[in-house]
Amino acid sequence: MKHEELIEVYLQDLERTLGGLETTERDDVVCSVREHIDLFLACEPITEERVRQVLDNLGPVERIAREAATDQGPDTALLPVEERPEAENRTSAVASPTHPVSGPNTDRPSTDSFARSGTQGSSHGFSPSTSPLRFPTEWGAGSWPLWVWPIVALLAIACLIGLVTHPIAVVVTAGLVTFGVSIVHWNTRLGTLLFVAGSAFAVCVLGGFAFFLSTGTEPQQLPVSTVEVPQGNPPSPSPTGVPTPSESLPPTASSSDTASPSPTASPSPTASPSPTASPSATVP
Amino acid sequence: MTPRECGQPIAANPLGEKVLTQMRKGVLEYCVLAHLRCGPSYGLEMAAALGRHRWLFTSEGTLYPLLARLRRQGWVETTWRPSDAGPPRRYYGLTAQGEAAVAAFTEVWAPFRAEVDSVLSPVDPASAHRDGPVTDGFEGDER
Repeated sequence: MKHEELIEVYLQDLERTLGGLETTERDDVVCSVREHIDLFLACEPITEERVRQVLDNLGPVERIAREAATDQGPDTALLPVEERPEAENRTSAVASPTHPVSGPNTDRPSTDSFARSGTQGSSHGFSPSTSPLRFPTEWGAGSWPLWVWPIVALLAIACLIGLVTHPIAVVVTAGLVTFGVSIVHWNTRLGTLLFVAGSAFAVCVLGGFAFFLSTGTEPQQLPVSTVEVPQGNPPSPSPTGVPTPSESLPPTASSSDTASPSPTASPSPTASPSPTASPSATVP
Repeated sequence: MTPRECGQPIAANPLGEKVLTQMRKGVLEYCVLAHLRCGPSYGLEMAAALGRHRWLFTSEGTLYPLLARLRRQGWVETTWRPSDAGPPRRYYGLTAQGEAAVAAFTEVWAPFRAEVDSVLSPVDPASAHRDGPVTDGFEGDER
């Protein structure tokens, strides 16, 4: 095997074993190890002996992953190096009795047990392509970088604006869709920003929705051309001078609003508690 | 002689290796910080320096996750510098927070080590009974 292949196999194994870490952190460690190898080999002409020496000194990839997982908590995903006969054959040339690069040699039992112990009760230990959805284990504010919070604040403002200017169903749907997209996006390891943003958006929307439900305040809604009127109760002028629903309501009342406790929101005789809101309830 | 040269693990007893692993977790990062008190250093250089201490440092590769963690904590900072021979090097330097951390570790290490030594040292039961209760440094420590 060529020297470059030895190095690439080692780095690929390392990257795979660090698979449960954040992308930036994993890349940082892998790049640092690559720099270490490059610097070591830059001093003298590259020989197979020197390549083996530098990989041997770096130690097994599982040991590096173990160190990387020190501050990641028990649920950190450390993906074991896949048992590939080809890889074992290739890396066995690099392995030493005390510091195998990978493969089933001396350090293998301990690393396997480590991998198992580090994946108890979680979906970790599988490759990203086959693992079920991952969910964050730390939701505390301390786990989010500071720059996330201005984004969250902007989203909250956007949600408030949306809640007073758009039908509630549209805003809630937007929040749920954003949240779903962010979950899928995050699980493809393309980053956490969208996940955090989508989560924040969903939380803000649902929080605002719950607030309006609890307070009984109906958000303003955009004009809608159609007004649903129950059959058999055509709108008619009110004998008491109280404007009919079609006159007093904003023209946005729709079927999604029939459950609203707002006194002026619904023409339905069964949903509105207000006697002045529905002519069918007050007019015999 | 390094472990790789002698071909034997540092602690032949697996339990001893486990104990060592646990102790390294709490100590090694401060030793890295202490090494950086002499000035900024790059990874390969640090690995070579720390590799001389075989009880403390076994695999050079474990240095990089540790350095990444120290950088996230704000205890070290990195700068790229060109090299006369070879590619540019990433130098790790101690921050003010890192200096404070290693100073704090240095301050508590001596009494901590003394207490551990005291607890681990064999006690003659006869002298212990004659002299009264053993005062091993835990007095007044409501633990």
